[in-house]
Amino acid sequence: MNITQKIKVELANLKKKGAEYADARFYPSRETESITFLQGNLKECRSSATTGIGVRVLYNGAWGFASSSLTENLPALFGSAFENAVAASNRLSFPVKLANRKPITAEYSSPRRIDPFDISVSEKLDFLRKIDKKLEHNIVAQRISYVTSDKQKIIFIDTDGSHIEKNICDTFAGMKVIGVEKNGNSQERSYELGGDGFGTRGWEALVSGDKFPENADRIVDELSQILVAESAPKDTRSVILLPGIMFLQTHEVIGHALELDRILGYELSYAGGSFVRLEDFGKLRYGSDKLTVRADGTLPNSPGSYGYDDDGVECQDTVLIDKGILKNAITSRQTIVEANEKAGEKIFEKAGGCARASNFNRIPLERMTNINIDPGNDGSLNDIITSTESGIVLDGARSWSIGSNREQFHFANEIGWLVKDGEKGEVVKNPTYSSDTLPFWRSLSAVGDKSTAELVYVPNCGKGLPSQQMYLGHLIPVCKFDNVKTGE
Amino acid sequence: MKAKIKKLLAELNNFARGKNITAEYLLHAEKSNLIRLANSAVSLNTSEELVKLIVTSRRGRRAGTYSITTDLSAIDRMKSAIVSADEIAQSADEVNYDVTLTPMTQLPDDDVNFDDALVGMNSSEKLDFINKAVGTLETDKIKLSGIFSTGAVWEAVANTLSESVLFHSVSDGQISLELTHSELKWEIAATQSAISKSDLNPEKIQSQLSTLLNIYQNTSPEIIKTGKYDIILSGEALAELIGMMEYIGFSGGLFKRKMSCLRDEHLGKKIFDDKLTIVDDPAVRETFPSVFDYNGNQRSKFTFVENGVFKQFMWDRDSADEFNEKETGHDVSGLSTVISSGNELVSSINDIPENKELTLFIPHLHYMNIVNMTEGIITACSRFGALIFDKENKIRVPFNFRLTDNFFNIFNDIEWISNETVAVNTSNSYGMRSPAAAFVPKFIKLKNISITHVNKSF
Repeated sequence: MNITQKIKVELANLKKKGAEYADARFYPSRETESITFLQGNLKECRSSATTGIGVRVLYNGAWGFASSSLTENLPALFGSAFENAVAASNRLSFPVKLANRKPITAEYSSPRRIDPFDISVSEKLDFLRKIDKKLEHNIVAQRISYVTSDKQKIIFIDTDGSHIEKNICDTFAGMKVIGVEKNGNSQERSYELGGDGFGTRGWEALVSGDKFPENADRIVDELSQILVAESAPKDTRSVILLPGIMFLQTHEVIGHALELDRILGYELSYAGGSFVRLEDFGKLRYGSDKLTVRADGTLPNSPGSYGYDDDGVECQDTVLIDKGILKNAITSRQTIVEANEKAGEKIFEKAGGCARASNFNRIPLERMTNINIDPGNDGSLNDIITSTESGIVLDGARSWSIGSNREQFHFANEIGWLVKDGEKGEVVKNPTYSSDTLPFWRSLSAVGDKSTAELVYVPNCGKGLPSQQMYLGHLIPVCKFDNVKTGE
Repeated sequence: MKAKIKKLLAELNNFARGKNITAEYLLHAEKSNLIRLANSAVSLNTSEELVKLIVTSRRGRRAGTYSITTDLSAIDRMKSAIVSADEIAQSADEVNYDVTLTPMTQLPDDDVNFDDALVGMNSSEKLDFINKAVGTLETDKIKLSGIFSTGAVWEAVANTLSESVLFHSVSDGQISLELTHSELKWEIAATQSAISKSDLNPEKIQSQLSTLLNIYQNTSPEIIKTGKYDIILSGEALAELIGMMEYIGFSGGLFKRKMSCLRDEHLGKKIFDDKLTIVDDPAVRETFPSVFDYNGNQRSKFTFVENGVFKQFMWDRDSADEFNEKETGHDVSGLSTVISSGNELVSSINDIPENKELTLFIPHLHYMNIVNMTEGIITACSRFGALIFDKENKIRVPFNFRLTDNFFNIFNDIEWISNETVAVNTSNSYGMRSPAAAFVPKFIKLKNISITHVNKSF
């Protein structure tokens, strides 16, 4: 018997022992490679290979989970998951039930033309060495560039008869320059590899075109301006957020706030809850009518697109907020049943395909796919600036801190440009802004058109205990918000 | 486990030497169990076994690292990992400085902080503890969340320059229980850190939760104004704050890279109130210490701040090599942070001395981040049971609020530090299990801290 056959036998045994449901995720291989240059020195050249199995068992309405990098003794592993579920069922308040879905047999591969693991280390070093050289400048005190690749094969098998094989490959890359002001304080400017949501995302996404060389020149030039700039004003004004910070704004106080497990209280012991209540769906004005947000796992090319989630549900394109009104959430098979029963009405029609685990040794949770904002009708960045009386254009995420129910936030940025009477003016340093969540989104007064939108990759979204770091994306246009507190 | 790991690493070391490969290794094995609670139920009960080998091959100034998750019996796979690391090293660029690699000196096995009883706790024992800790505090509206995590780590390090194999093992427990009002949305919490089963004390948790619960159930919350306040931090909040300062202040590498809030002009100068002393002390068992670092350096007490005076930076090996400094035994997964206790007789919030000004109490900081690294500015929100002590020491309840200030101001004026200390478990569960804790005063009172945002609800 091969290992998948053995897994099927063990799953069948769990059913015989009384499990309501069980699934296993087998990672025959997960390869990663990280290369980092720091100030001209190759600081990291590291590869890894991971194998392991995670087993999830539902018994009497309670979850048990066990995982191991040791794949020799499957009966012990599956038995451990079952025992954990039995023990968990001794403290139960709302028995877990899973929304129905048909068993699926499927395969998914992320789009790529060149497998980054087919590229030699030498070639990768050549690429980064050139970037490093490009970042070398007399105003740059430190320069960093990196490439990380991750290739996972995941085999999902469950007791409903699903068998899904996924081959997912992601490449992340970025660069940062740090400079020092006369007073000794440092400033920074960075660039991360992104895309447009289409095409492929193998090694070719990194090396095709001049993305890196062009942006290397840009960030060095912008750093030179920041280093001699005045501090950002401390007042109330319009903020125009470029995709380099708008993605995080969307991520933190729309994405996380709309994870249904958070709304139901499953993350209170760590990440926190949400100000959103079940009775808000269909009614709450989350933002101005310019705001339409979707969780789009079907975007052809993004770390937030993965074919099928770890509940065995196909990825979907779900409208979360429609013209400012809250419509849906980031959901899984478990949470929609619980939410509908607790609300006493069918708020959620079907699982959103958003249950994901970051590795074999973690349990699936509600995770963002691609949380995107639909482009608007307010033209280009220039058009938005022209229509602004007193504002600041902001880019780059330097710091982010969010209230435990995602009800308020504070962001610090790498760079700001003052806007006065429709003109983009001088660069300012140390810009920050903060607000309460709902007043902020309701003050959304302009959404840029398609030309302003960029897909930003997120390689490090943290959540859960034991903690998990997830890959996802945000396709985001430029947005303007009015009457926002800045400079604190 | 100990014998198996040591023997295996010795065998791998012999293999590498036979191949003329210069290598260093970390062999890590862990066993974990975590019960997670939400809505007064167990939402997850998870067990994990993981073995990981990390090999770095060194060819002069060139290095390559290869890591695998594996099985202790998969010796051939581990040998392949050594070869793979060396292949990477062959392709790698040289760094522009000399790289230190020294023979490891054999040290006694570091396994005194390992308790089989803690590691072996089963789910029903943990649920018994939780039920005792919470007692009758849960109601239809007051729901329990939290974690009870236990585990063990076995680690060995070696390199090809000697036959020494240094071994470390530790057991750890982390308990965090929160009570939340399902409609009003306020939250209170109590935590506990354990290195052995005898450290577990459910009554202590119940006492902390009861005190806060009584206040929160009988007091209407209020919106405070933004501005400057005197602040009392719990040990948990203090440990988190100091952990952040260690990261952006005490690292020699960051300092040389112009990214630290502390610089050479701060060395030997008084930068904080003289009541503040911060050391890294691997002799304190509550911190899950390791007596050696990943390079095999024996660790010893290391003072960062003494009576407010900044004494020295810590140096990891790579930064020390690059900047021509001496490494200080700080290639570790977590420091053994110890903050000296003070003279104020404060054991619980009931003992807080009378305040001359309206004073805020922050039991936990939520989502701290660095607004400006070189200026040492951080921001974070209060969470899990903040309080207001007014001038008559009457206790009130605020909605949560945001603190944004710089470390130099935060620790500039310390009114008092409690005489009692507490171990605060600061482990995170990303990646490999790596227990960490700080041993800090239970309470500290800081003057004149900026509150920049206030919530209007929970």
